[in-house]
Amino acid sequence: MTIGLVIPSTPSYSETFFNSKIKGLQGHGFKVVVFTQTVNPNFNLCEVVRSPKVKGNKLLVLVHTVNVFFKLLLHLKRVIRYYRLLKDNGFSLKTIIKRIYLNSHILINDLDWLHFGFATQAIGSEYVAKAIGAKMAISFRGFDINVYPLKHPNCYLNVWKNVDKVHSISRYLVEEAYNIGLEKLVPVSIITPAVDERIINKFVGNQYSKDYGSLSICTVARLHWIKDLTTALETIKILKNTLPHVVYHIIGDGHTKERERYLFMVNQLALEENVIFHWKLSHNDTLELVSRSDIYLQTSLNEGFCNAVLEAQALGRLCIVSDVGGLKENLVNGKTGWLVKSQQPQLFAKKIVEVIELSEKDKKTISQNAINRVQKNFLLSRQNSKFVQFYTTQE
Amino acid sequence: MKPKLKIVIFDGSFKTRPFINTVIKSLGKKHLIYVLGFDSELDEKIQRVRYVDLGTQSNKLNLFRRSLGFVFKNIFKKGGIKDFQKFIKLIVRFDSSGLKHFNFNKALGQIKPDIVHIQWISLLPYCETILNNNSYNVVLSQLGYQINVRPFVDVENEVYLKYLYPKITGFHSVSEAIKEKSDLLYASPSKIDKVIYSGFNFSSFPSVCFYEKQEILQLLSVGRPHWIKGYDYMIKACEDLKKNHVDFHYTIVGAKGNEELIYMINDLNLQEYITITDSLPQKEVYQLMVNSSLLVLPSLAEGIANVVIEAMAIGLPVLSTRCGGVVELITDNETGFLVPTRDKSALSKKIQDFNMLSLDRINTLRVKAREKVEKSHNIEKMTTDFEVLYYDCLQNH
Repeated sequence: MTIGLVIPSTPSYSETFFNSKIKGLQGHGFKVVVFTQTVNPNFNLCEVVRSPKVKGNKLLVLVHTVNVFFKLLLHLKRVIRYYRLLKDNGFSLKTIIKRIYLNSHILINDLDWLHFGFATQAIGSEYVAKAIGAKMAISFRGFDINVYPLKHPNCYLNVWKNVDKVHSISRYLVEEAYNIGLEKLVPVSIITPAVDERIINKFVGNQYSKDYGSLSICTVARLHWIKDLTTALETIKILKNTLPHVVYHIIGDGHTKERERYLFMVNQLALEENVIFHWKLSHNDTLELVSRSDIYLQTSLNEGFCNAVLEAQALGRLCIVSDVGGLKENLVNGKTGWLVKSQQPQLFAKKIVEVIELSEKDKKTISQNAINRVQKNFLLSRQNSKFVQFYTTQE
Repeated sequence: MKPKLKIVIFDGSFKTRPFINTVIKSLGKKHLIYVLGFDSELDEKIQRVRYVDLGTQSNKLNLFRRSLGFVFKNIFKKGGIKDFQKFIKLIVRFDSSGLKHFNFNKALGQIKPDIVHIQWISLLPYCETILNNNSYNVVLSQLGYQINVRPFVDVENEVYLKYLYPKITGFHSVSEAIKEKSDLLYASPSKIDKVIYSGFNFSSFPSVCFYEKQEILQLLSVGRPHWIKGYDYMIKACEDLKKNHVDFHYTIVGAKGNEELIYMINDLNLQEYITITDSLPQKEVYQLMVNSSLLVLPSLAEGIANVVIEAMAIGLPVLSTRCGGVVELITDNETGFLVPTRDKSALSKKIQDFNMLSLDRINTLRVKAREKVEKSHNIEKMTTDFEVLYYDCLQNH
């Protein structure tokens, strides 16, 4: 069976989700082809097909177009089928020509499944799977469902018409997708992100600070508004009144504009002594830092699931997160961590104080619950077999 | 009598800021004004102003042609051969940024201005050569994000500005607050730094507009959707207003399409209470101001916020955060309303207090606000202030 995976760029070494998915599928005898715009030179897990050029040197684009034209001639039947599908669905000739060019790299391949790694990536390629006689699958991530459709209503109309199977990282995203038009008849499989036990085991067992004066809090988040670091920093500001030596570590980077947003906030709230931006760290260094923190904090406005919170639980950290989206499935409130109403720094600060005042025994219980639950339900090996099932069974 | 000056205005583009256009128009009657820009055309040129095209960034051929023009004009003059060699080097390296710098310096060489007035801090890299050689009197306008935020969150930028600032002849600050920020970068007894408030043409609004209390409180903000504008705090304040059953509608002009704001409005179920529009032409903004109850400026930092001056001139009451220069314009409860920055509860409370005010009280405040801006923000004062700054720089250099 050949799976075509459409993703914006080939995964880098540290992106466990796609790398492990590809390795897992290959291990079960599947052939995987990645279709992408950006190729990471170190990626060599499987065959990679780059999407046709649309920008850059005009001469190069022209040469590329001629090349695409000849390649398509060899697969004329598919091109005609694709043309008819688009025409019958009311697309203009101009759009059809544009789409034939943009999807040419997929059209010339023989696939059993065409899987769009992000739902937004399927927009503009909705009829390609049908044209090449493959089944179409899409994956839901937070942004696909939580943000993009707000700005682009009805963006998935044609996706809903054509999709054969949906993969979602949480039940929450599926419910939201039903609200924006996904038919309930479409089979859905929920495969959450998972943790690699071999890596995690290296860091489990670090102890919390006994001295609350040196309380250490940590968040792994790219600097993006959806992560609501405004609430996180306001929480730290409140905590600082009673715990002047609290240290808040932020691991993650973002565009200059967002970097400046949070640096300026730290400057305005006079938190320079309390907040450390680590920018982007390697996965190993991230886990090391998370495992040394007393509290893991995630104040996001929304999350599809949030791998970082899962890893923090796997490391036995005391997690305090927003009660939004997939986080409610990620963590069991009061058992493996705590959910707090989003955008409420007062409530986050109150919860942090409550948690650090818990007895060592109670802390240990929550920490162990978190580790146990992750080990039971969220290990990479389980995820791999679920993906094999995804392509081979009807659900 | 003071001598006639040759003044170069450098904004990066021919389309200078509206307030600078007003100054240029006025100064052009007495002095020679040159506007330098990386543009080749401008729809509405200001009379008597000479526009000097430095080549456009988007059209490399045009940039090349402009450089070639400068080279051949000077080829038989002193340094002409050196310029030619430099030009060839830049061409070989495909260095379009280098060509832009080259054109800027050559244009100044031809004009030989008394004053080079740089409109944005971000344009300073073009002036490195003339600042290092101390060739001209350079005046720098300090406003907005580039002085309010960047040097204080970007160490490289801070070091760069601390290195260049002492070489600059004079500074224009748009408010006392900005002047204070500037002093954090460079302070010296010999530093010339003049606060010049932007001037407003009051003839468009000869008196404050008619105002009545509306059934639905109409709140208005105007400005791009940048985090510095603090709209996220105002949206959270709107949630509070809704909870407190205040009948209101909030319009943000110029922020359409911003994902964060759209998300927040949906998340907090405020779709019926908040409208976000595209940017609108000035006339339409003024009309909206006439039809609104209160202008809200929830910003985290501002130099002065021209939109506040305009609202005060029109007669629209203003609620602002204490963000930099706005406190020089507004005295709380006298000429407007002030709340701390980053405080949604304070915003919401002040809006509710405002909603309870009598029309008489609001009208008294509107008249006082108009008097305040008429006094400090008229065009004549702004133009004279710039002239004084230029002569001060000439005298002290």
